[in-house]
Amino acid sequence: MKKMKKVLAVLAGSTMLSLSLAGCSQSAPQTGGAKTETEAADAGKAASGGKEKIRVFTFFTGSDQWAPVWSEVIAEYMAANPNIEIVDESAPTAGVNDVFRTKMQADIAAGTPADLSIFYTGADGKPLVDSGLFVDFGTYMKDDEKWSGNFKQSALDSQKYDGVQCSLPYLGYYEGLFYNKELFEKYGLEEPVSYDNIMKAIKVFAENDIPAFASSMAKPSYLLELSILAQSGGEGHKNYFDDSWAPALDSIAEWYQMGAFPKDTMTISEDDIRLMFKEGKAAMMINGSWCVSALEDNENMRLIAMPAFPGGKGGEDCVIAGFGSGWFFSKKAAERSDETLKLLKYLTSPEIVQRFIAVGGSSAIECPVPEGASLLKKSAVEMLNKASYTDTAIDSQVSREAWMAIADDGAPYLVEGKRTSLELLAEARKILEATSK
Amino acid sequence: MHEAGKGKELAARILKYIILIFWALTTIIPLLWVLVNSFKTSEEIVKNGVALPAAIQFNNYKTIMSYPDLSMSRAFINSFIISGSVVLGVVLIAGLAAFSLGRFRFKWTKYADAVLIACLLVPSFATMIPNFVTISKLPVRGTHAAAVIPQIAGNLCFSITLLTGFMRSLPDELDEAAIIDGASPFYVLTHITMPLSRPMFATVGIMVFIWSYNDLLTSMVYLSQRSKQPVCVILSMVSNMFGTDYGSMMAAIIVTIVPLLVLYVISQEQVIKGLTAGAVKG
Amino acid sequence: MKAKRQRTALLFLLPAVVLLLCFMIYPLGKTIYYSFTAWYNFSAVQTFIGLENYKDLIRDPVVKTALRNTAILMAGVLLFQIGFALILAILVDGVRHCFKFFRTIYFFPIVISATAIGLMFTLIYKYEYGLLNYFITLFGGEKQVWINEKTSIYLALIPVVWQYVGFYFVIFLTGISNISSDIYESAMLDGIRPVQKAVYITVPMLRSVLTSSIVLVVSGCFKVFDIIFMVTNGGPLDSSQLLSTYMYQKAFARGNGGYASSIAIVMIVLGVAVTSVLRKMLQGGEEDA
Repeated sequence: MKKMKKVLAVLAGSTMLSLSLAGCSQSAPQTGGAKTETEAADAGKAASGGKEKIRVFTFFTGSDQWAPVWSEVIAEYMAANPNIEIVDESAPTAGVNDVFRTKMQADIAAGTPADLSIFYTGADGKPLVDSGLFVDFGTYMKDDEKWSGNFKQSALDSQKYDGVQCSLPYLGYYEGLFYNKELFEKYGLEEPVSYDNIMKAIKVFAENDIPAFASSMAKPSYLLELSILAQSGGEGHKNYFDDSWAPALDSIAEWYQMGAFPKDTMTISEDDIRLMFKEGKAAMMINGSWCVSALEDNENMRLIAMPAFPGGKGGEDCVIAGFGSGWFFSKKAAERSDETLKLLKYLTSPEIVQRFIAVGGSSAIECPVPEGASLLKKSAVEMLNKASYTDTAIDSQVSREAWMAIADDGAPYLVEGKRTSLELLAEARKILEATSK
Repeated sequence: MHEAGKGKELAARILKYIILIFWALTTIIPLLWVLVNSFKTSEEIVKNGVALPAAIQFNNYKTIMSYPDLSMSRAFINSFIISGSVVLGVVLIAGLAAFSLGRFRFKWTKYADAVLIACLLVPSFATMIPNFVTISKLPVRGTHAAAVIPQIAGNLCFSITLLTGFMRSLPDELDEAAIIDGASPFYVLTHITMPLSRPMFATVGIMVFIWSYNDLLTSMVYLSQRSKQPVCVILSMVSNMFGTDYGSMMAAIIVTIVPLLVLYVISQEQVIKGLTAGAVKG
Repeated sequence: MKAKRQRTALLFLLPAVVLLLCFMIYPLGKTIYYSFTAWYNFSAVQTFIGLENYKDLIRDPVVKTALRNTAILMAGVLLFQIGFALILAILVDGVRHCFKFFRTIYFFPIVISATAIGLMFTLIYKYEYGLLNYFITLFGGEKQVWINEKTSIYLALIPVVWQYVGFYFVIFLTGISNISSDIYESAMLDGIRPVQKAVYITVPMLRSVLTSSIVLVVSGCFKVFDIIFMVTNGGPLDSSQLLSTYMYQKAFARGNGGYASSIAIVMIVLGVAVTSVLRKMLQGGEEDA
């Protein structure tokens, strides 16, 4: 559930910008009118009234913030290309039953994925890659370097499976420690830039009946991800579920015992967590870029990297950021004609991406920080710029079940003292081993 | 003595109405609550779920009507096409099956019951993907039938179980008389069992309609084009990456259930008519 | 002659059998197979591992909690969805006023989607801004964390049980209306009291409707999902987990299709076993007659 949210997070980190917009604006592929007739081969199957149908699948629908831009963009494209009919099969995500995933799973099983799809990458994208239904972008990118040059190499690399480029990154996210300066000042506390400051703050806030962290033990993933990075640092981050992660988990249990979390942390929902923090009823929140737009009107809000834990190797040079989703291009569509590729190039052109990012509330932030950006957003960019190590959240790197063993399934038992951090890590390693066989 | 009996009777009657009205309150209040909240913003709902709205505003309704790729009228038409076909299919197929299970005794009838229960318990996660593969092999992709067929199959076990139970409770004398007169099973079904079972057919029909009407997952997965999808999909559209817009969700619930409630009230009339017709004949 | 009639009856079964074979039995067969495999993230690869999933399942403490909770749920639905709904139906059948009103109103919760009901109860139980705590503070009390390890299952089950009372109420009312009025009239002449009428006439006459309803509610216990998912999502510390919620979590949020399949199979086997026993108990006499 959390991943879906994060995946859609607004692209904001300059370091993570997939399309370096500044340098490449001249290379927008022109999608001038119908210069080539639809190829005869596909006329029978895909054409209706001489039009070629292109099926696309995204999450830009309903109340999704990008939905209006998306509809505009595809309507414009159809107007400019009368030979093309875009069939929009988009499904919303993050609902109670995540239709978005189920739909993709069903289409993969039936061998009928849409011609162009946005889907989660990382561990979630693996089944798509394994299905063999999608193209390797390698040759396409070599053939048109003007277009492929728009993509930032690190973003592309983050979506490779065994060196194969199966998806193209689109929208990105980052995570960090949000805090409300006002509350820290009110209680004469120093800002949470070090572990000691955090511990002091927890004590003082607990005495005053204020949760130090707006966090839910029912959905503890962000809290865990950042704590683990603060402990492991860059070098230990990929050492999945190593015992060296244990101090991070133990710290969380200690905070819980100190009363750092809301009273109903075992059941509180993610929506309520965000509201609690926004309302100034909790001092800190470990969360991601998707929260920024709701918080930036408050000039007391700040975002920093999680400070290093005692003996830990993380700190402000390590951040979690990346791309949780990307475009997949079906082999069937690639064999049919060039039209789908043309559409993809259009959608990934700097002009169009810029329009998507403008909606995200955080316009495409380039270094340096744009004039008039909120203090929160400035602190976010600063956080990203300080980092020398950037990685995606662990939960998108390992099998979901293994992650859950220390997160939703394990953390409540851990903080209650019913299981130890080493037990949870051992169990997660066991699951990881079983799932990666 | 006589007076005491009367007093007791009155007390019993009052108690009866107290129970009935109490339960009625538990069922009306939630609906009212949804209605009232549909005029509030999400923040108001979360912060104070019971208060009346600060100001009546229709923003939530406007929001759900303005989702860019959804035509509300088209969606309602789709809903009625899909759920109507599902009800027809289920009533027909389950009616036939229940007749043969309920009015005939085969040696294997009890096993049939077990099979029905087993099917009833198959979780949707297990059927969703295999059935999608099956459907995509049939020439129905992109039509309403792609959702109708699996929904009929999904509602069959429930309907057969209920209809069989009801048909078993019907007296045997009428069929026997007809059979002695040389009537075919089809005649017995259409002229005796069906009319007698009309209230249960109506109940099953209503339930199947409601479930089909609210079946978001099947609709979204089996019908990928928005122009073919039913109105319940707006219930999923109020959620996105950033959370759920509770205000819009309330409005979406009201918009989707009003037609259902109207339909229920109307079809209830039918049921009652059916009952009285049966009584006259009996 | 009889054989021909039976053949026609079999023919009537055919459409249902075909549909169920394609869309229920076939996926069920696949689920049985998956339950013997290691299968992750809905991938195309399943590795046969024999009984491993079932062995894990026996050792899994959450499964034990889920079974206990399913038993609690069964008691709740039998008491309310059958018992209370039957009482309501008998009461409403005997009222002179507002028959149609009650009949319509009691059905309302079924029409509201489970998601909305779940959300509503979440807002009632919540700590901050919750309805219960709102009333408590109104009367000067201290706010409570309502959902904890001990209470969670009961609090989560209230909406589950409540929602479908109206459904069985309608079913029973339909059944009662079908009881021939001659029987009542002759009983009334004998001077029978209302309670006796209910116990000696109505309930026995409803026997087969009751049987199928009991079968439906009990088997339904194994499928309850949406509301629990919204209200507690099985927590805290798995204390309100049901087999169904646990299975969904394993299948979707954790992507462990093999293990989820084995839970599904256990669910189906238990459901069939419990309902067959119930049916035997309820129908025993009737079958011989």
